[in-house]
Amino acid sequence: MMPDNFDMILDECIERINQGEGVDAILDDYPDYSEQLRPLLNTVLSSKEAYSFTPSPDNKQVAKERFNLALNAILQKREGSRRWLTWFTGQPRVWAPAIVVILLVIAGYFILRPTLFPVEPITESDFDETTVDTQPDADVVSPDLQPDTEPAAIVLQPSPEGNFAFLISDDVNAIGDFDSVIITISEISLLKSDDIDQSIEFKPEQEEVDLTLVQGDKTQEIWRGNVPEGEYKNVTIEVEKVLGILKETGAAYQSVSK
Amino acid sequence: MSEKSGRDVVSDREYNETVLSGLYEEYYDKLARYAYLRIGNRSDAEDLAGEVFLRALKSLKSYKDQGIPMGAWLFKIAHNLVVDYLRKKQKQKTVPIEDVQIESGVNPTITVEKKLEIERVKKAMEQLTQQQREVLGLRFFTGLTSGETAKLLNRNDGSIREMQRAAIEKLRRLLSTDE
Repeated sequence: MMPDNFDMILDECIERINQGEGVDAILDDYPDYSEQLRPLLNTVLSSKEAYSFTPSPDNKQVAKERFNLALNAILQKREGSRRWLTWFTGQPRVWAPAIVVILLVIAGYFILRPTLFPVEPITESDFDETTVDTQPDADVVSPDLQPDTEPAAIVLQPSPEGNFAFLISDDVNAIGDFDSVIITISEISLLKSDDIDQSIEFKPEQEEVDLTLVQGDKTQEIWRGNVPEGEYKNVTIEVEKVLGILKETGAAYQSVSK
Repeated sequence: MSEKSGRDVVSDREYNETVLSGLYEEYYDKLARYAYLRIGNRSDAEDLAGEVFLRALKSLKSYKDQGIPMGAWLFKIAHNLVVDYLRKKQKQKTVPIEDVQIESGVNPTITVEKKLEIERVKKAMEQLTQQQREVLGLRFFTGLTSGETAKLLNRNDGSIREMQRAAIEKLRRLLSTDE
């Protein structure tokens, strides 16, 4: 039975184009709509053609190897856990002391916590909603199109009493030929390693750092503030500008990231 | 519904890992094309397609709750990565580099005409809203039906078909006025 709604007819035609049918063959089945449909279906074909490319086999292979490595790492980790679990569950006398140790650790944590952590740990819920940048841009994505796993960015403000300080240092002799190497840092982001990736971002209070002054054990603090508790898997430093002056010639080398 | 035992959960994950691995060959190209339509940069689109599988592997334990086929779930992850990519690009104020590649060994006149036509389509596509490009990307390159697309985007079938028609009509208008 032919659907009476034009949107549905067009949808069926697109489905048939996706399956490789030609426009003329499709239009034969919709003679009443042929005039309306033809330009639209030709537009569909042009669009598909414009974006139909074959990805580079090399890139595909490299990406697949990365995937396989990650998969193997998971499998090996799981196998290791299984071996341990098999041994542990096969040792009935181990259970009693193990449970005692676990209880002691849990109890110890709650008893000692007020002493060890006099200030209540910061959590994400403690941050004012106005500092949370979860709305990229109305034109970029509609809020109702954002799935539950939408990565969100929390923008932090500096605080002198913060629980986290970001220090910059450099290897000794890595820049030995330079009289000065001044980098301008525009933003730092930390990526949480929870199930839902969450980016924590902050702008350094001290944007410029001369790397020649922070070699080896020397460091320069560029930001301090409260960072939510959790595990982090990645740190990204966005360097806006690098200006290096060579010792020997005094020549300046500058790199600016747009 | 009864709780699954730890062994069942591990078995599910192992099964899903095998399924995910098996989808690689078929879906990598589709994901790259979908991403290309959304972000307009071929090289980044390929990187993003590879990243989708790594993210999927990492989040497999949450997959069981999605209620959608794994192939469609991969496009949901791709959508997230695209949004993240666009957000970062917007901050960096960079302009995507046009990277049209024309195969060698073809008639140069046809090649130029084809290249111009492709450029026209891309310029027109850039004038669609992100939602419209999302729908066309999913419908043209992923093999998802309008019903599956609707489920993925938490919409009803009718609104997806309507958006699809409106997007194609707008593209057609843009292309015809540009001629």
